[in-house]
Amino acid sequence: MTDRRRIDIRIPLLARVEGEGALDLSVRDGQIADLKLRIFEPPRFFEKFLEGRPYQEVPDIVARICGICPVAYQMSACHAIEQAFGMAISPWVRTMRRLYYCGEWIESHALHIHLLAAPDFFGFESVTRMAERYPDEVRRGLRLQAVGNRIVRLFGGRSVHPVGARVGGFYHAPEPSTVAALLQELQAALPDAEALVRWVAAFDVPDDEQDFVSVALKHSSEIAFNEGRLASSDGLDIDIREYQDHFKESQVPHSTALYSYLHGRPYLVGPLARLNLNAEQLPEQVRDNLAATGIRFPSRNMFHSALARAVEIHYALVEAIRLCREYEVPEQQQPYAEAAPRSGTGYGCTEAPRGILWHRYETDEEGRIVSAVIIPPTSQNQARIEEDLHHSLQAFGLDEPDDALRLRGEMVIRNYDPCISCSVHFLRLKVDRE
Amino acid sequence: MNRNYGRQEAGPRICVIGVGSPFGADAVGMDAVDQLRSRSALCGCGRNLSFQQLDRPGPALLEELRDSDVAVIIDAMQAGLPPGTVRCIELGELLERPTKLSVHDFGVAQAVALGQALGDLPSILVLVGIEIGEGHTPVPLEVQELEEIVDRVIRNAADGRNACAGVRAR
Repeated sequence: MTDRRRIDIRIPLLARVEGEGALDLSVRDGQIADLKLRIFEPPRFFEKFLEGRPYQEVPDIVARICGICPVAYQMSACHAIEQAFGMAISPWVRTMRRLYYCGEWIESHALHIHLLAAPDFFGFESVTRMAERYPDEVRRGLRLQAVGNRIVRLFGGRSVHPVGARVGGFYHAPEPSTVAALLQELQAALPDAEALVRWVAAFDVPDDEQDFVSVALKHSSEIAFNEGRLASSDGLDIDIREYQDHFKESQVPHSTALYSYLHGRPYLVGPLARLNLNAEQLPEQVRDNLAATGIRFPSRNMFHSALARAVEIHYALVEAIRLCREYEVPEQQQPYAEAAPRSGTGYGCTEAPRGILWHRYETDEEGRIVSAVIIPPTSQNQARIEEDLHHSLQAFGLDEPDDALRLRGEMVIRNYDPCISCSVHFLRLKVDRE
Repeated sequence: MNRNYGRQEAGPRICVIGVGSPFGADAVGMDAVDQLRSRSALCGCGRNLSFQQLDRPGPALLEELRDSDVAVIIDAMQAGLPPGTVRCIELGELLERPTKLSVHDFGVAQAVALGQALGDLPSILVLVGIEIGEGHTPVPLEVQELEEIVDRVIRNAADGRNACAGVRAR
């Protein structure tokens, strides 16, 4: 990282709600009459900040939207800007961007499973309490998270808010010796990833099937990270540029958040949606390890989301091993293509750990950003989360004490791994019963 | 960026870790390590000493502590004290702090609490906090003072005393 890339604006923390969500329930005659949820603010301030900024700054700026998924923001942004400029990326960059993403999936999912999801299923209030009883499992999770971080650092310089990605590729190509050393670490981590799938599959989860539409990127020959068409379990098959023709955002009166609908219905993005659509594309060893658990995808049980994350850790590790084995330095001297800025509109849609992350940028003739639209996965899942809460809390029993309702509500929300769910007790629940 | 400045001769393995962000006032921990690594009083007496800079490591801090017998973590703090104030915080006091867990806000205290629960902490661990006030502007470092504090902690650890014993608060 050099000083010329230092960002000279302050990005306020107000751009993202963190730490609290609010749920208002109205219960009439034992039925939910009304349910209002507010858990996530879309990064609208970032969209405004980007206006007028040179395109080179965009990957660094958007990487700071999320400390857990900076790679996803960089990748969606880079692809969108490259499309606006009519740029092609080299096969080396394409491959390395897959490796970069593997690191983020592993790191984000490992954190979520062990710090957030697992304590719920074991009845602990936190991972710290859980670690006293299950130290080996927690250590395994931290080892996997560290492996994911090291993959990201290979290109990014640092695992939080990495700076290594740029429009056209990466600033630096890793040395083959560094990649070889990483490969050994990745291979050593495989037993951990396999065991994690078996451990998570054995969680005692509610048997709760629901009707929902899964949406994910689909690629003809690989598990999609950065490229593909948008597909749904209802038969959607569109180019990412057509997103806004099918997916509509609308303001709800009780929240500043925008809710997303696909053809008028809530929909699911994220690991469960991805496996529901793409499980048959998993490598054989990952499919076999999953098959041994007895749980199948597609699944209509949102509580299989943690297992979907564990399977994606296993997949990402297998894929990272393959990519490291085949690693070669780029043929050209520099690991990026030079941009020829022009006015245009470009789209990027990549599979963040939490689901599809859609970016649209309009650029001027100098490559400055004229307008930006960023639609994160958590934002897209909000309508689905509300629908799920309506169903799940009704099924759980509205006569249950408020504390129990709150905990079940938090567990339901945590299945979606939204940015808000990172607090152990993040939900303010207000129940109005008559 | 995580930069390990390497180890010296054998003895207890001492790690001085600057934690923070590369930007703004929160860089003070990393800046401190930049300054301390060249201070001969700390580094020139045959100690098995290494320095690291960790950019908001979250739970990954525990991986970096794994190989140490003595760890001194330097980080920004907001305790309502005059900016630039330095405090030496022993492990026990650090563990008494509230540990609201957030993957977006998994700081040093939370990581240390998890490490304690796992039994994976170095035998001596100290947080050296540098007050950054509101955090709007970088805080000037008193390198001499920091060097004396870190040196005192290392000597206390070697002599079997409380790590922060004799550290004068400004």
